[in-house]
Amino acid sequence: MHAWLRVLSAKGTQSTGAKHLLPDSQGTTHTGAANVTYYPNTHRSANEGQVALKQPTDEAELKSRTRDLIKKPTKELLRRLTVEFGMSWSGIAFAIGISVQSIRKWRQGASISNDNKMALAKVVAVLDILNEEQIEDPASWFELPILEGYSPRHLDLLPGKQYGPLLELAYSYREPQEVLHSINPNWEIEFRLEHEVFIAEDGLPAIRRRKPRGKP
Amino acid sequence: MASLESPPSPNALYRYRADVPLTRPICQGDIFEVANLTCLSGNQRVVILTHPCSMRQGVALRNRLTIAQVTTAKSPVPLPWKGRYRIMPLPDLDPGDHFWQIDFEEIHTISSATLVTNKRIVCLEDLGITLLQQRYIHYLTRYQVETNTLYDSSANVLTEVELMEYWVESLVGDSSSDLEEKIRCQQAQFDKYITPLRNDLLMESKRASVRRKVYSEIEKRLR
Repeated sequence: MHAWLRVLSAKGTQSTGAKHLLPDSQGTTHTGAANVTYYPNTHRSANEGQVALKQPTDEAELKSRTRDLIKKPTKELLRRLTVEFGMSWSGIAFAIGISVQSIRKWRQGASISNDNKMALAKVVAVLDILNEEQIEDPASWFELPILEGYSPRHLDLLPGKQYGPLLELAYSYREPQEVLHSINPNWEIEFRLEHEVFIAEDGLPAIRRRKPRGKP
Repeated sequence: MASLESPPSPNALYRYRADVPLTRPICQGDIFEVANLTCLSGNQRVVILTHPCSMRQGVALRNRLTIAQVTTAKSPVPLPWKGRYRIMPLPDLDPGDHFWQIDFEEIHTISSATLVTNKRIVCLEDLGITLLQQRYIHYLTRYQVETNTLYDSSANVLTEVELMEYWVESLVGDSSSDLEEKIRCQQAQFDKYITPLRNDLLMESKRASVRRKVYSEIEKRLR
């Protein structure tokens, strides 16, 4: 088990339906009003005991890649995230836990703190790893829900630095249900989406109530 | 869903506060200072309520847009928000002492010419826009839709707005002369470029690919 594997646990979360996992300006992740605490992972993988096709990248490699990337100019890191990977500016800001306004200033040459540069480099490192090993279009994968019909997306794992579960999902080392449970044991109720988007007759997205599970 | 949602912090609501770039296309959730709107009593601040999918004809804004007045309250609304369904709190909107809020009881339709980009004081972040949509829907119908789904239904156009902003910011140059005309010209260029890609923006699995194409096109045009 990797020491860097963490379980995100939302304490005191209200049963108010689906929630984003959102960072505030300090990068702390919240689920609604919940506090977020990190615990060493003691959860057994569903695939434990099976012969692995590929070992998840370990913390040392992620750190090593981040150390190399942090030497690059900020503009180059931003260029890699956008032109190469296709991330949105909102997505980059969300992943790092800062505002789009701050990123705009970096684009224009404003200085960046060491912590933010490290966070930026780490996102590039994660995308590199995903791209090299398993995921053809990792920025697109970030935007997809961890499990269809439930609110958290892969991107939601980044602000809480949930790189372990993120990579394990990519490698299919952990089931989506298992990761959602590690985020919030009450995930089936709290993260369930009651509505879905469909394309209406005018060709634009619209919203309707999701059919109950098991019904055609 | 037992109650309407709240942002994790005031900062999560806002994309730009003060120094709103002129290159940002006008969008739902933008807050403007206006002058002499006779339908308003008191503060002359308004927020756009018209959905981003239906506020434009081509690049130009439609002639009439729906707005709500931004008013002040006597006291702040603590997070997480409870009740207060007739308003949307706007904590830390500006450094002043006022407690700003969107007042759904003061909804009007106004000429879009009233909204001048250099009088825009705030743009909401995507989360702020979906929270606004959630509270507006609830005010009108008492029906609750989760913000994740509201985001999914607007993501195509919110992505397009962000790409247009970056396109214009990158290609309009540093010159301040004829800036508004240059912005309009680049917005039209972007619209022409993005039109064949709009169907791809409807699919979340293809949005990153569209962004890569747009970013690459901007680099190509800068060379």
